[in-house]
Amino acid sequence: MVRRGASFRALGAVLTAELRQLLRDTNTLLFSVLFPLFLFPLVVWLFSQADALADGWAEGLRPRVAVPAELASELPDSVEVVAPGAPADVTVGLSGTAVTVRYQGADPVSSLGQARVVEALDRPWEVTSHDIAPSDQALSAVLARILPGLLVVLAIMASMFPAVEAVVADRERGTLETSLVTAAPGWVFVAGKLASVGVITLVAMVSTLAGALVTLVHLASLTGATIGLPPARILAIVPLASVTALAGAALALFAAAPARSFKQAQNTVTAATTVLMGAACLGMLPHSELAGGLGFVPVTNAVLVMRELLLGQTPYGWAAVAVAELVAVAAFATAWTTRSLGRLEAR
Amino acid sequence: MIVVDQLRKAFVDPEGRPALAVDGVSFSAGPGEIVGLLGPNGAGKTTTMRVLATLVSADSGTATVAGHDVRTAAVEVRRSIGYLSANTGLFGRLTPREVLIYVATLQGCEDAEARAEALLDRFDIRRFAHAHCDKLSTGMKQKVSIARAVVHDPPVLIFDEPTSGLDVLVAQELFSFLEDARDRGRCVLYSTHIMGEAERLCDRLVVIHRGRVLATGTLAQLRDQTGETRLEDVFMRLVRGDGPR
Repeated sequence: MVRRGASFRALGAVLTAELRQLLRDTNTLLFSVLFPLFLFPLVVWLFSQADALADGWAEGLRPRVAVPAELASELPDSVEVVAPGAPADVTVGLSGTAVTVRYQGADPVSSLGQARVVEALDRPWEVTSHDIAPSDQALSAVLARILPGLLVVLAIMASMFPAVEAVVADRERGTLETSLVTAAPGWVFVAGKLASVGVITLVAMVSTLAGALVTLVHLASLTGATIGLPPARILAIVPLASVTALAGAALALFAAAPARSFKQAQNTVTAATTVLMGAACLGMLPHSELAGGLGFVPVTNAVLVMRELLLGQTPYGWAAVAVAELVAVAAFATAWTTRSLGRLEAR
Repeated sequence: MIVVDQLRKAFVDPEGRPALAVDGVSFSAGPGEIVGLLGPNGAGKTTTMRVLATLVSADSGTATVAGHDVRTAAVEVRRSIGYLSANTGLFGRLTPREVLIYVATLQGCEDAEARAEALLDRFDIRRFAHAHCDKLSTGMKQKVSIARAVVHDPPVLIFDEPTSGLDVLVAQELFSFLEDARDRGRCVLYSTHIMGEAERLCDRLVVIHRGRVLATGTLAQLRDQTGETRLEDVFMRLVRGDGPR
């Protein structure tokens, strides 16, 4: 029997060798560290460009303004006057000479309508505006919806190449055989590969979070706005995101293990990770809720739990369900990977 | 050190039919000798060696290495052998030093780093010890592979066609190392299809063809048995006598 200490030293050796092999590869660095680090800033920049385009487009619009009859004649043609109570982008209330303008700051059309109403109403009207959906709250809601899914998708993407490299490339270049004719027990190799792919996915996740936080802090300093997501809430999602990333790594290895060639592994891993990323994206959809069927879909429920945590909720029950499912999936995938590797080597 | 008795192993060929790779092979190799497995490509040499290295399970028959059964004591067998084949590769983005320390640790060596350092000198690897393995020439890679196979100083060496693609200088270094290992009491099983290598290196030969052992003995014994002088002629006579099956 191999001593337990020797087995753990062997596990450390496998993990170190696999990580060196992966982290000295340009593709791994590009897709697991740099791409996640710069993706969030890039997405935000693209969104800001889209917002600028939307602002220009909105200039030509006529926001609908629900306004009492006494004020209707005061408003310019650049807004569409509708009756009080009708669906509108801006709602105007009147009490004596006091005019209250209610609008949604996060909505460019509503903001445009508010600006045009305020500009048109001069003395004797005393105009006050109320943003009924402040932009920082809207921003936090959007971030809560996007960030968990983005974290999981990027972590899963980052696990693809390392999984193929750790199993199939290892077999094709003969290093698996090199390892298997040593005295180290078989579980050491599967555990070492899982740990190395897991580390890469965690690095991708940390890079994504770092990119997101730097971008948000930069935006806040530029605009003076508050992000609406306290750091404590962002940190609260890290444990569940880590479990999700590790389960993704286990599934990527599971998909790669039976493949007979690099190309075949790329195909099977791509298919498996596409399913996982689809499940993550399902949790990012605006009307996806942590209840009923979706609450029991692995990965989707993890993304939804993270969204609730970011919004300041504490869905402990669903969090337990998500973690239990992810651990079960990872355990099954690891057991199957061990079996696949053993069978292929006819040991 | 190595005892093989009536070993059989069949595979399924690409058309789905069973193909007998090893058909009742028996031989032995003792400490302080180099035994050559001599046969053409597809003779069953590699399959026999992979069974001895515990990479493949035999269908029937027995094999023991350093007193350990390959079927029931695989870990002890792996600790006792240094296995090298044409298929064994190196981590391309690891350095030779890192590869040696890695394998020594897997073999349970307490002094992995010291062993690696000693082998860097023994095989003249130190001058490229910091280069990534995928930057090395074929000869340099093979030196690292040989050092990797023997990093735990095993009593039994199983080398499967180790001179494939090597230039004559590196091949000579390999022969010198194996002769030295024999002199230190190691048991060496060496497969080749190159007659000159077998003639120069091996104390005894096991001629294998189509999965069967045709003859065993020293070169002198095989010469007497066949009446031929050159090993190539000895081999051809044995193979022709086997006939098509």
